[in-house]
Amino acid sequence: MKKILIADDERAFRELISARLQATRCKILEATTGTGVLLIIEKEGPFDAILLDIMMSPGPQSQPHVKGFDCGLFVLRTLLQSHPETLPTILVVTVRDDDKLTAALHDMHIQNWCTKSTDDVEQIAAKLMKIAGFFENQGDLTGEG
Amino acid sequence: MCIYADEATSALTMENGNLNTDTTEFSCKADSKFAGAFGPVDVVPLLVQPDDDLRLQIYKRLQMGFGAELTMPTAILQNDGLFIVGTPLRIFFCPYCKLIRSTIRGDERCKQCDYKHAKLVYNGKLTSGTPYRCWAGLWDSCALIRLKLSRRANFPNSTKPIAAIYCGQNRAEGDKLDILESHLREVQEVTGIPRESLISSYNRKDEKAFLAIQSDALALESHAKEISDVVSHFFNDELGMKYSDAFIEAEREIDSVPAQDEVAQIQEGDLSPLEQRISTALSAVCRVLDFDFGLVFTFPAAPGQDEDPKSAMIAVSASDSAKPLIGTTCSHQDALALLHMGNVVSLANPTDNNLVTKIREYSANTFTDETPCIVPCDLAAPDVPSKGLLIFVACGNNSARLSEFRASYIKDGLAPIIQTIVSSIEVAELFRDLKSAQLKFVTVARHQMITPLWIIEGAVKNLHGGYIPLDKRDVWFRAVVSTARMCKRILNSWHLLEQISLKSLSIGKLEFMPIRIYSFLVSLARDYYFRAHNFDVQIHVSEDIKQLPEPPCHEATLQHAVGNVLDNAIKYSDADTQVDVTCTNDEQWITIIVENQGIPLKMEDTLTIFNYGTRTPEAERSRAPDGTGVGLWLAKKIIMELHQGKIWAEPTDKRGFTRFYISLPLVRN
Repeated sequence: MKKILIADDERAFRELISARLQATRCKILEATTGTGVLLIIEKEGPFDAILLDIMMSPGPQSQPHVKGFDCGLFVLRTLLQSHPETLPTILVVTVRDDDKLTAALHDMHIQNWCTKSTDDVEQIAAKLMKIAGFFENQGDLTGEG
Repeated sequence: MCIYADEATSALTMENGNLNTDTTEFSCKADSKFAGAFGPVDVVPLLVQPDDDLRLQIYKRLQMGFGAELTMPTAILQNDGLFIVGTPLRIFFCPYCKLIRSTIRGDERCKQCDYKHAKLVYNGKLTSGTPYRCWAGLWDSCALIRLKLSRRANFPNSTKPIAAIYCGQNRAEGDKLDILESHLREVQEVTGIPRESLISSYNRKDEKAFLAIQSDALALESHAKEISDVVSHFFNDELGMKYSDAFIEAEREIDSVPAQDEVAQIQEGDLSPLEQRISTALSAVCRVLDFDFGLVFTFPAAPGQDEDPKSAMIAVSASDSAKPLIGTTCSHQDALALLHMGNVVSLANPTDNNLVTKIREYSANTFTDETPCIVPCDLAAPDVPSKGLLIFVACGNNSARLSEFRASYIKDGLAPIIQTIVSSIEVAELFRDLKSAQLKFVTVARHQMITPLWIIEGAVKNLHGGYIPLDKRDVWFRAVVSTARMCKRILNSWHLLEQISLKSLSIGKLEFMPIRIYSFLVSLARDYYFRAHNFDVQIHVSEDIKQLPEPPCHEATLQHAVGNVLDNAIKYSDADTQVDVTCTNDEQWITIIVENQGIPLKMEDTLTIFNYGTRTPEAERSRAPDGTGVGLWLAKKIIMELHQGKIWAEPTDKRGFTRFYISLPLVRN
């Protein structure tokens, strides 16, 4: 069974994406903070796809200087340092196009990202499923693969 | 309560050439208008005998007010008698950590890095004459200015200092004794220490005289009570931050003093034509450079008069160019001492040899790019043989503006001085600030709107595509409605913000009707249900508040105010916690209390979170890292200006719990 991690601090976002993935019968886990992402990956990883909101709260145990989308970048850097193999599985979601963010993602060789301002639930879920490898075998979509 | 402060001076004295820090005598002439560093002020005497906690609290507040390191004077640490604030006499500068600290007594060891030989940059000579008194007064006044600025947001209409320290200097005997008695009363009221113990704790060379006036002391009790109340409210966290009725009343009383009369008196009696011109120009510059006020020192022009200890000082408000605030005296030494304190900017005549040389040397060695800097210039007006030293007390980091200011100043030189700068900088500043604010607002606003719109679109698509299980469809339909309402609320907030900013909202046209607070809060909580749910937070409205008096309110704007506070509580709550909403009431007020658990609110932030565009560093680390910083400002405007109410916040005893209070009057004036 494939495993997907949805990391966003907004419950509605997580639930809407999750609802789209129900048909795949994959195992879906959720994280609500930056530190939560790292903990879940350590405990439950590896994942076939990781949806990571770049702008989320760092969590109570995080370093004090980490905030805003620095938190997402911090999570990404930490993740890629400890688990470089996760790179192709990551889908970064952000609210807006931002040159600074684009450059940072480019530096980290992040290929997959989308914005809430242009991608709706259907498109984001589709990208996530593609990363998880569902479209390589149509049977996956029904959980048979 | 409105008391006029005397010269704010310390009671420290010299004995055999050494500073006597054990002296505990004070005097203050409480009704000498314009004698004090800031004229008529609401006086908060710091002459209390605090326990350790209160002492620390006062000290911290002073530090906060200054924004600079301030060593607790030995007298305060060791003396169980009256409390003296300020009056640092020796100032040290550590070359390693760039720390400036002041102290009355102490070694040269840097507190920050423990370097043993911090440089003594100012060694105040304690004399019995004016220079010392004024220097101390200026110091204290500056501390209070900073305190006031940090609190000014709570009193948007006030143009007067909220407080001034008054520490007595030995003056006329009668004054001293009277005030000594009142101080004693203050201490007694504040601390509860028996009178006899207090008397014995005085260093009583005047004990006989003191005892002789005891019989008249009862008359001072009410006055002392007032003062101690203010002290309590000002410095006691439990009471003080609530801005008691008495304190607000004091503010109103101060505000009610006819400003024009005061201006006339000062201008006619104390300011020369040059001083008036300088004060007007300084006020304009302060306004442009975003200083809240400015201080002007004027000096005699004749060579060799640098040692003259006296000069006139004028303080002007940035908001009202025609209204100089004070007149008092200060020596060059004193001015230099202020410079050593940092947070001060001066403009000095480059030909004014001694002082300017010292200032330049000090500036080159001490100030960094982050520090407000020193600008040499010539203030001589063609027809008046005077030169000037301007000192601006900086409030925040204005280095960029100052650099710009300095460049213009040096280039253009002299007399047209400030007007040229005003006109050139003002326009540029306005445009830059406006553009910057506009860009920031648009970015944040876009972020705020995109997320709920994404949820609405996503929910509708999922519902339509059958991705939502039947048993959850109703929940998501309600979520769509709730989120749409949230979008409308955000847009309406902006409209309200525009109306309030443009002052196009007429209170007279608003209809204030009694509302049932419980129903109001339940309805509001329902509106915010999904918002809270989205952050894994629950809202609980206490059922104990069903039977409460009904305050007259304008419900639509009140929804915004309380909604913004509620939204704030939700955003900064930890997941899986509850926001509790309840109320208290008395005969005059009904107070809504919103308590949440999450990112702790620091005591110092309670002073600023209601300021326009203010967000705490903690807020930026929250689950809602983007924000316009206008929600609580808008709430404050609605509550205080439209509803004649009060709003404040404070951390509770429980770690991580924060409470917001909104008090609404049961009767509108």
